[in-house]
Parts: sequence; structure tokens; C-alpha cells
Amino acid sequence: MTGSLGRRLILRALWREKGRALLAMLSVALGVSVFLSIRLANRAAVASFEGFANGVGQGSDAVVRAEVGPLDEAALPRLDAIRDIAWVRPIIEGSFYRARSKEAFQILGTDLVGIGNSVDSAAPAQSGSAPDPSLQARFFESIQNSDAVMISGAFAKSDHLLPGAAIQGFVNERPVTLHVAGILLDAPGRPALQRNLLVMDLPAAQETLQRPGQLDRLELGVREGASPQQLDSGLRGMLPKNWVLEAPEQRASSGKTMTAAFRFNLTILSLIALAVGAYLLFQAFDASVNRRRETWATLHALGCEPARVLRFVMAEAALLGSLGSGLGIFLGWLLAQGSVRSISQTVAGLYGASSATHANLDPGEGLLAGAIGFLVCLLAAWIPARRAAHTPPVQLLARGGETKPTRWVLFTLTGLALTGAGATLAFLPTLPPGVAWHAYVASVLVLLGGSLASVGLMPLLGAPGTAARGWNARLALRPLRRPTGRHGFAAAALAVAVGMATGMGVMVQSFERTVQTWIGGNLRADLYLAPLGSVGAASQHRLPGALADELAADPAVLAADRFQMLPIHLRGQETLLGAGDFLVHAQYGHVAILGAEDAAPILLQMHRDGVAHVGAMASETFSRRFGVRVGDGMDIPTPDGLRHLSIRAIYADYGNERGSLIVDRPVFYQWFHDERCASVALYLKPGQDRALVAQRLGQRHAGLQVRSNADLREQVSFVFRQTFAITYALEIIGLAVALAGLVQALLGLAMARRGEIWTLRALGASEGEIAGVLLGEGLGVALAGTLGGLSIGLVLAQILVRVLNPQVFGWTLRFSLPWGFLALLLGLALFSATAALLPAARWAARLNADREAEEGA
Amino acid sequence: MAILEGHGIVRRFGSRAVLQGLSLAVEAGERVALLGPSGCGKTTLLHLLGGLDRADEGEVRLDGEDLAAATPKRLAQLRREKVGTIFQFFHLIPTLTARENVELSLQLLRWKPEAIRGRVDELIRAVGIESRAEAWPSELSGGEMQRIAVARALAAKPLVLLADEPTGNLDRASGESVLALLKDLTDRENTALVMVTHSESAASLCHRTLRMLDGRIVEGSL
Amino acid sequence: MIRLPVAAFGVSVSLMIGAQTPASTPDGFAVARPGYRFSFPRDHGSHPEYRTEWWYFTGHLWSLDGKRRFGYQLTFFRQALPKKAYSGSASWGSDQIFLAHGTLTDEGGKHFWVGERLNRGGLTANSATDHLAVFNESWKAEQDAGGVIHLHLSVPGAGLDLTMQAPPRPVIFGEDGVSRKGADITASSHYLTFPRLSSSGTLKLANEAPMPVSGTTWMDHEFSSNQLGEGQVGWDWAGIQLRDGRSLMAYRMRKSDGSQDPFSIMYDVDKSGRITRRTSEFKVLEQGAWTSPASHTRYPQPLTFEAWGERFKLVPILKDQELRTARSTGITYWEGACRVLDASGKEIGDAYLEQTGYAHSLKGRF
Repeated sequence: MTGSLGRRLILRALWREKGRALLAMLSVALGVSVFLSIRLANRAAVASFEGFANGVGQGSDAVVRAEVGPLDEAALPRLDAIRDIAWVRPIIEGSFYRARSKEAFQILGTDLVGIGNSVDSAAPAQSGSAPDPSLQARFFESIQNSDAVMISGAFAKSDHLLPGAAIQGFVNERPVTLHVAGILLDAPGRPALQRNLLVMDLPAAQETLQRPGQLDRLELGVREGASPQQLDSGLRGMLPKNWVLEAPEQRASSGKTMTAAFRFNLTILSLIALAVGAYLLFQAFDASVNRRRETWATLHALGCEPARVLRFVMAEAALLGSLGSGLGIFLGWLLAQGSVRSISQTVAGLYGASSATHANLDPGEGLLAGAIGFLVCLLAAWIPARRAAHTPPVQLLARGGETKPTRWVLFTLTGLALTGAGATLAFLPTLPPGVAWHAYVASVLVLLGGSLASVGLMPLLGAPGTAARGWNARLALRPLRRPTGRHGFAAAALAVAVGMATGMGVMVQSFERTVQTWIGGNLRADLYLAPLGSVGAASQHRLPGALADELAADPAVLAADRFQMLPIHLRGQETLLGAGDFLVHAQYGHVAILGAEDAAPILLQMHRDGVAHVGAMASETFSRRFGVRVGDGMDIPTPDGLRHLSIRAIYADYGNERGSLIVDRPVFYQWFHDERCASVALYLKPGQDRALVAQRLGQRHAGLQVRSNADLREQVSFVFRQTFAITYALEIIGLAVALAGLVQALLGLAMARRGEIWTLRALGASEGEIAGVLLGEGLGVALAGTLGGLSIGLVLAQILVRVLNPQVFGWTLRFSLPWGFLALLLGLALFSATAALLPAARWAARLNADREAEEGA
Repeated sequence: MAILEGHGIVRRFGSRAVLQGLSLAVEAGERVALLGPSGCGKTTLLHLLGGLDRADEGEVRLDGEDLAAATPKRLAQLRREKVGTIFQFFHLIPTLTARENVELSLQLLRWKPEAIRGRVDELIRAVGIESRAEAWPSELSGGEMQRIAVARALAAKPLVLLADEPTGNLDRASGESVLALLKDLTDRENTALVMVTHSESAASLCHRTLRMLDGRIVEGSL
Repeated sequence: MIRLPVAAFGVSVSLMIGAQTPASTPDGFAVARPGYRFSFPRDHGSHPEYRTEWWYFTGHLWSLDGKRRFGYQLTFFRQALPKKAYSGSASWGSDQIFLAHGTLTDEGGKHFWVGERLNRGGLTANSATDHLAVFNESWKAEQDAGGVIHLHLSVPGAGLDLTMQAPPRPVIFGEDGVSRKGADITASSHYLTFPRLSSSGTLKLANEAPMPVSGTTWMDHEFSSNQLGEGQVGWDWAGIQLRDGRSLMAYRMRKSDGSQDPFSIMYDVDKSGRITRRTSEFKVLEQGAWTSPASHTRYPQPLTFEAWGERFKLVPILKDQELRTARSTGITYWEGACRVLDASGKEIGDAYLEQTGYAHSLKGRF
């Protein structure tokens, strides 16, 4: 009964109007797919970090590290007693740079013989079959060769590597050749092995990394019959000084922090698509319900209760919603495969090797995205559905039902109020560092409010139509004076898309300009040398002290500033302790110190104070994260115990999000006995040819990269472009979706003006002239949306630059207004709007009058 | 020579043949009434005569020109210059004032603004809506709207005026006044008039009455 | 631990006459040769120039009130890897691998604990070369300056610490310090035993207070570079400690056709540690079987050894004392504490019985 009626009313109607149904489905699908794809790609990139942290073996219950620096393996026997209840896995890590493919790899060294002790006792027993001699030989290979590595299945496959193959590259700046001893296969039920992971036997890794006797961490897991609490309490008593116990979550969280900047971009963007899609859905359903208003009116008249009518409409929405969501999930998965590579590359470039090559369809994410799409669909249909259900039939049939003008004054005022509220929320309160919820909420308010207020731009744009002489101008502009729901939705959706694009774009530009200025101002050395493959703070490549000495002694060099970086645990957080040559820096370099003009006197003072009264520079991010200011003191863990220092200056640094604390080199050496450095900055003697010197040094040391200030700036630009490439792509998608909505709106508007179009044709207006009128109206909507969006974008950019970035990452950016970018965006939006609207306008110009109405006689 | 001719016009919509080989001729200045039941194809015929639709078979000639051979551009031009149309539901552009609606025809012909002003004033006086010239269609009564439609249709001094149930939506008084206006104005300019109507009193204003049934002319002289 | 075949004594000596025993194996390891001069405590330590070595402790323990009876096994095994130019670092050696098996049997609680370890020579496992001091993670066997051996064994749910005083010299099996295994001249080992060590210490079981225990331990120490003889699929070994003070060691090798290998041997050692008799003419009677539910291996038990007119029936104190050592050696075998009954059924002593080759042939394992 209801079934067949439902089938006829809903399914048949949808089938006959496939185009409309398809459009609604696609709106859902697009929103869902973009949202899902970003979340999936995000997950994959993050998982690859956590994969690194988890290493090769089974998950552990606890991790032991040194507070600062490496663990001395000689102290390992002190933990012997804990081995009754827990297995212990020693780990050392380092970086390997493969020259041929310019890829960064992570070397993980662990005791390959002892690793069996931590295998799950539920693992199938080997008894019953004689050991495979080739397996044994392989095993001996991996522990009896100092250059043997086990590679991941993914790496072996992608590069066609077999056991015995050679892999050439650099460790620190030393050329190193490794040989494949075996291929690690993925264990069922465990996360896939990182592609760029090279596993070595521990002594071989220590030798290759030139770190004899050192370990980076110990992983511990309880044996059967013991509990993690026992492990915890047992360990605390026996840990040597400077060794700390870390819970595994802390490890994973460091990976999460490293990608926070990136992930935040993506998450915000994933919401645009959804927002824009939602707007379109509202419009699509509004139009759809309206078109069928005769059907609903007839049902009413025949005595069908409102509730039933409502159910019909909602059933239609549910059907479209589920089909659209399903399609969206599939498209989203597809899209994720494409974006994960680019995200992975970016993350690898910024933070070190990441190897996600494909994004699995996580069922949870798929369901979430699908559910959101479905719910938005239902929500979008709810309001028009209720209207259709409860409006008396007569009114439903009334001719002007579709074109009732909207209460734009209300929307505009509400919109402005929301925008104002958002701006107030963002800028007024001062919250502790790391807290940014207010900025996120404010952004949403500004987006929502701005899009509503954009509706109010249309009457403004339509104003000239009142006094216009030409009929084209009158007919194109005057409808804008009384915008309908269709006008409003389309303009609002476009405003959101343009707003996000503008906001992000301006923020990125500001960011890039700030960093470029910083580089230009602060990096004054002639040449910067670092091991090949060291990018960003995550690199573990280091130059030996002897090499740095050699570089400093080069006849062309006036002074050398050696920079070393050490990851350190301070107050429970991970950060960096660095060392620089303050004397050299004071004489030749430049540091932008906050609140002071010249850094030289401060640097010189710190140099003179030496170890007796240690002073340090803290980066802006550091000072925000740890809440320290000039004059504050800090205790730093060293292998020989805690040492005290005082903060003498805060400087601007955009190099990393963890913050850094810099001390003078002699102090660093006294504390850590570490002569290596991460990079060397060379100041050349006057008259020296920078390019020639660079070339000479590069040739002599194949494992070094030699860059000039200009090179660094170019690299920064490259990194920025890569980082934000994905956001640009997504913004374009958002714009495309909004434009689709614009076209849909224009078609709807044209349908509503069928009578007029008919009249004009009867009066002898040409198709082109009529199309021009419709196009003009459409462009008016587009312009309102674009201008509204640009305004939203500027406010958004202010929030991002002035509030979000400082709160989340701790650095100050200078807001710069990229006029060129804005003009480009405006032009692009209008151009694409025209291109999209033109065919639609031409098609609409050929519409015939409502046949039924005219056939009355 | 007939100003408007049709020979053997056939027009089908899907499988339904609305006009089945219809022929007629209208002389310059002649007023012809088309009577017939609903659905007999009167409106369709009107559309074909005005070049708003194409016949499937047969021939329609306007001022000697074969409409079937005309391009859409030419048809539009013809409609601008030689044909005026009045509809049952008025079809005034809602975003234009009464005056602006009348101006529309002449703007389409790209007349100069001063010329337009003069002619429009004249027409407004002729149809008697001076006091309502600046009003919006939503503010006008049915009779007023139809007068404006008449003014708009006759603005360019067309050869033929096609009227589809001009009094269909008006009360008797307004209807009669509009009919009187039509007779007066078409007489003055020697404009031919083909009027689809139900009303006998409307038909009585015409020189000839044709009756249609099932897509053919069944009564009245050709 | 797995016990490797001990060469027959008198039978093979004649074969040695005229044959030159080479000093080392083709891959460079030392061969166990006659004329080896033992010196202690040095030879209780490790001999890395030989490929294989183990220290094997089994024992019977009772609570102080005698009501609870336990058995234990702790074996440290050293295996040298093929000689290569690179041998890792001092802390993480790639030239020696140390394995260990440890078990505990609780007769009353009907529980059998097993643990195994596999580590490389270096920080996590090693053995001294100048005295007995071998460890594998927290398990250790060490002899102090006073000659007292300290053992530590821990398995999930149980931990054992024992001390035992060792006599100055062990029993040395074989002829002229060498124990032959098979026809091949280089298949030989140096084999030392303390068949009876009075032991005492503490047993800590989960959810119980530490329990003082005492009893007797049998210790073996063997090092060689070449193992199994031809055609052998497995063996049954027993270390028997009789109440009258004698100790018996029985070693039956089984051939693929099921028959007893002529290299099988049985020794009788008196109270003072002197070998009084030996024979290859002994019988092993099988009077039943136990099948392991885990590995579905059928072990003939109880076993009765018959020699010199005497009978020794070994009845396990707990049926399931099977080791399935997936992680270390990959071999499944049965090794457990037994009661020894004479022909009339009277309890006359204790023994540890080892049965290998029932789950699978040992061919290719050693």
C-alpha cells in the first residue's frame, strides 16, 4: 500500500528526473568524499609516524630513555633483575640518505638475536620441522656483516631489491654502502612496515652510525604472568641516573605534535567541502520539494495526512542521502590514494621519512563521513519538507510560491552580528599557549556570519538596476534587489568557498613572507653546510667535529659558526637544546631578538660568562610553550646531572614547532662532550667567490650539501609550496562545488522566470539577449558571493595569523596583504563563474513556457 | 494579399496531432476571432502564426515570408517588427514598471530613448493608464495590466496582433473596455488581429469568426 | 638440556689406534682429542674454541617438611657461529650464541613451568673462560672462590635460587679425557659430571611466600665441535641418584629402524665419584606410554633400565614435563623428574629422564 505509493511517488519520480536526482546525489557525494579523503590521508600520514615510534617488534609496555642524549649501554646490566618479569629490547636510530633517489631512510638498530625473547608466546611453534638451512644462512648474514640491512617488503617491491643487493647513500656525511640481507614481511594483524625503514643488527648499526656503545632507547614488555604495574615499580628502583621511564603514548604523541601544523590545515579544510556541500544540499532539496508542490497539494487535497507527506519527502531525502554517501565513500577512498602520496611527500620533506603510500579505508572514518553526509541530507530536506507537509494545498499551488523573496535584512544583520561575535571571541580573550578553541569557534562564526551577510550584498549590487535605462540591465539587476532563497544559498556557498581560500591563502602568504624576511635578515653567512639528506629538525645526520674543524680552517673561510641540536626532555615535553658559536655570531651574524635592537652585546656577554654563569637564548615557540621570559632560570638535565641556565633573550625562529634553547658551544661541549654538529655556517673572507668556494667544498665532501642564503630561501619557498599544495587543491575543489551550486541556482532562477523568458521571446528578444540577462543575474550573485568571501577571508586570515598560529605554534607572523593574490582570486572566481554560467544561461534562454498553463484555452 | 496565411498546417506533440492540416488567411487590418473548445489547438495555432513555434507540416506566411524558412534570428526580428502578442495571463515583466514594460518592445528595436519616450507617452494615453504608468505590475488590477500589455504589443506598430484570450482573466467591465480598446487601436493603425476567445461578445467585434474543432477549422470562411 | 651421545668406551678405542685425530674441524673449531689436560676451576669455564658447549643442571628438591616435592632443570647452551671476519662488538657479539632452557616441576600442584632464552654473547649472556660463570639474562650458574655453585632460574610464575658445594674434581667420562660419539674420529667431546651435589635454596612460587628447599643436583658440562653419529634419530638419557649413594648414567641411542645403537652406554659411579662399571649391554623396557596433548607425541613411559642384573624403573612424578622450545632450539622433547623403583617396586632413588627424537628426528638439528 504505502510501498507501492512510495515507489511511484519517489522512485519513479526520481527515475524520471534523473538529472535532478543525480545532482543532489553528487552534492552529497562530493562533500562526503572530500571530507573522507582528507581524514584518510591524514590518518595514513600520522600512522606512518607512529609506526616509526613503534619500531619493528611487538608493542611494548614501557620505554626507557635518557633525559638528554643517548643511553650508555654499559649501564644495561643494571636492569638485569627486571628481566625476570620483562623482556628488554635495545634500540638505536639514525638517518640514511639514499643519493640515487634522494630519499631519506630511517635506520633502526636492535639486537636481532635477542629479539626472539620478546616474541609473543602464542606464536606458532617451530617444532616438528627441521630448521630451513637457507633461513639460517640468511639469519647469520644479517648479524655477521657490518653492513647488512633488512628492508621492508614495500621497499623491496618498489625498487626490485633482492637479498644481496647494494644500497648506496650517506650516513652523516660519510658515503656508506649497505647490503640487503633479508626482507621483512608484514605480520598479519599488525600495522604495515614503514617503507623507508632499514633494520640492522645493533652492533652493525652502532658502527654504521659511528656511535659505539650508545643506545637511543630501551623498549620493555612484561612477560607472561607479570603486570605492567610490577614493571613500573620494579624499574623505578633500578634506573641509572639520567634514565627516565616513558609511557608509550608519549612516544606516539611526539609524532602527533610534529604533524600538528599540517594536520590542522587539513582538518579545517575538510570542513569546507562539507559546509559548501551542505549549502548546496539545502538548495537542492528546497528546489526539489518546490517542484513537486503540485503533487503534495494533490495528496493533501485527497486527504493524505501531513505526517505522511513529510515521510515521503524524508524518504526521498534518505534515499538520495544514502546513495550519495555511498558514492561519496567510494570517491573519498579514491581521492585519498591520490592525496596521501602528496601529503606523505610533504611530511617527509618537512619532518623526515614518512612512507605512507596508500590510505586504507578505515571503516570508522568511512562510516563517520557517510553518516554525516546522510544526516546533512536529511537535515537539508527537513525544513522544506515540513513546509510542504503543513502548508495548505491552495497555497502550495499558488503561482508565486517559488519566488518568495527572502528576509535578507534579517540575514544580513544576523550575519554581521555573528561575524562581530566571532571577531570578538578571537581577539579579545588572552588564553594560555596551546589553547586555540576560541579561534576555531571564531572562524566558524565568521564563516557562517559572513556567508549570511553576503546575501545583503545582492540588493546593493542590484541597486543600479532601478535607475538603469537599458532593459537588459533592468531585468538582470532588479531581481537582485529582492533576493530569493536560491540567490541566497548560492551566494552564501560561494562566499564560504572563497572565504576559506582567501583566508588560507593570505595566511600562507603572510607566513611565507615572514619567514623569507627572517631568513633574509638573520641568515647572513655566505654558505651553509649540512649533511646531505638532513631536512628539518628530525634529521639525525651529524657532521663529525673533525670535519667542522677542517672547514673552519679552510683558507677561504673567515669564521665558522657550528650549530648542534640535541633532542631533550624538559618538564615532560620534548624540545631541542642547541649550541651555536655566540662569538662568531656576535661578530658576523645577526639574530632577531624580540624587544632588543642588537643581539651582539647579549651574545658576547653570554660567551664571556661561559660555564660559570650560563646564559641561553630561547626561541619564541620555546618561551610560549614553557612560559619562560628573559631573566627566568631553567634546570637542564645533562649526563652529569642537572645544570642551571638563565634565559637572556628570546629570538624569532620558524625552523621547528618544538622550540629551541641555544647555549654557547663551549658550554654545550662541557655539558655533553659532543663535538659533532648538525650544520656549519661559513663566513668567507672578503674577496672570495662564494660560488667557487661552494663548488670546491661540495666536490671535496660528497656527503655535504652546500647552500647559500638564496638557496635557503628558495628551499623555504619550495617547502611552503609543497606543504600547502594539498590545501590549494582542496580549495579548488571547494570552489568547484560552489560553482556547481551557482549553476544550479541559475537554472532554478531561470525556471522561475520562465514566463518572463517566454514573454521576451514573444516580444522578439534574441536568445543571446535573454541569455545575457540571465547571465547578468547569475554574475550578480557570484559577485556578491565573491566579495563577501574576500571579506570573510581577510577577517579569517587575521584570526589565523594573529591568534591561531601564535597560540598553537607559538610564533609571531606578520600580516601581509597580498593584493596580487586577492585580485587573482577575484578574477578567477568571476571568470570561472562566467564560464560555468554561460552554457546554463544559453540553455535557459531557450526554455518554453509552462505548457500546461498556456494550454488552458 | 493576405498579411498572414497558413496552408495545411500540421503540428504534433508526441503522438497527438493538435493541428491536422489547417488553413487560413488573414487580410491586413482584418479582425479574426478563433472560437473552439479547450484543447482544440487554438493557442498552438497562435504560436505558429507568431513564429513562436514551427509547424511539422504545411506553410505559414507572414507578410509573404515563409516562416518555416526563417532562422530563429529572423523569426525574432519578425516578432519584434511585425507581430504583437497579448496573453491571457498578461505576462508583464514583474521587475519593470508599467511604463518600462511598454518601453521594452521599443528597446528591443533599439529605438533612441527620446523616440521611445514620445511613443510610450502616446501609447499610455491611448490605453488610458497615465495615472498608473509608474506602478509595478503587482500593484495593478487585471484590466490595467492587460491595457499595458496592449500598449506593449502595439508599440512597434506591428502588422499583426495575436491575442490569446485577452479577456479570459478579466471581469466583464474590464473585459469590455479592453476589447473596445483593441478595436479602436487596430482600426486606427490598420493592424490585423487574430484573437483566440471564448467570448461571443469578443467575437462580435471581429470581422470574421472561425470555429475550430480537433485541430481543424470547421466553420467560418477561409 | 639435550644430552649428546657419549661414545662407547672400549669398543671404539681400537679404531683409534693408528688413526690421527685432526686438531681442528674444516671450519676452524677445535676437536676434542685424547690427552686433554684438565685443570679446574678453569675447565669449568667456557671453551670458545670449541663449537658447542653446555652446562646442564637437573635436581630434585623437597620442602623442609618433606611434604612437597619439586624437580628443576637449568641448562646453559653455547653455540659458536661460523667464523667470520666481522664478529659484532664486545657488548653484542656475533660469534657466540647462548641459549638456555629452564623448567620447574611441582608434583603436588601438578604444574610444570618452562622458560627459554636466546641471546648473543655480550651484555645479555656470556660465560667466563677461567671458571664456572655463565649467565643468560637473569639466569645464572656461577661458582665462587670457595667452590660453591650458585644458580638462579626464573620462569613466569616461579623463581629458584640454589647453592651447592662442588667437590674439587668432577667425574670425567670417556677414555683419556675424550668421549667418542660415533665412527667419525672428530665426533668427540670432553664430558664432565658432578652426579650428586647436595643443594639448598629458596623456591618462590607466585602467590606464595618464598619456600626453603633442599635436595640433590646432577650437573653435566660438555664441550665439543662435532656431534651426532650416523643413523641416530634420538635417545633416552637418565641420570639416576640411588639412595645407597651410587649414581648411574644411562644413555640409550635409538636408530632409525628402532633398534638400540651399539654406542649406547651405561655407567655406574660410586659414592666417591669413581666409575666402577660400564656396559653397552643393557636393556630398556617400555611398559606404557604417555601422549602429549599439545604436540601429540608419544613418549614410552615409564621406562625401565636393566643392567648387571638390576632393574631401575623410572616413573615420572608428573606426566607432562614436555618442553616445546619454539624460540630457542626448536626441538620438542621430554625431560622430567622421576622416582626410581627396583624390581620389587620399592622406591630406591630419584632420576631425571630425557627423551628426544619422539616428536621428530633430531637429524639435521645438530
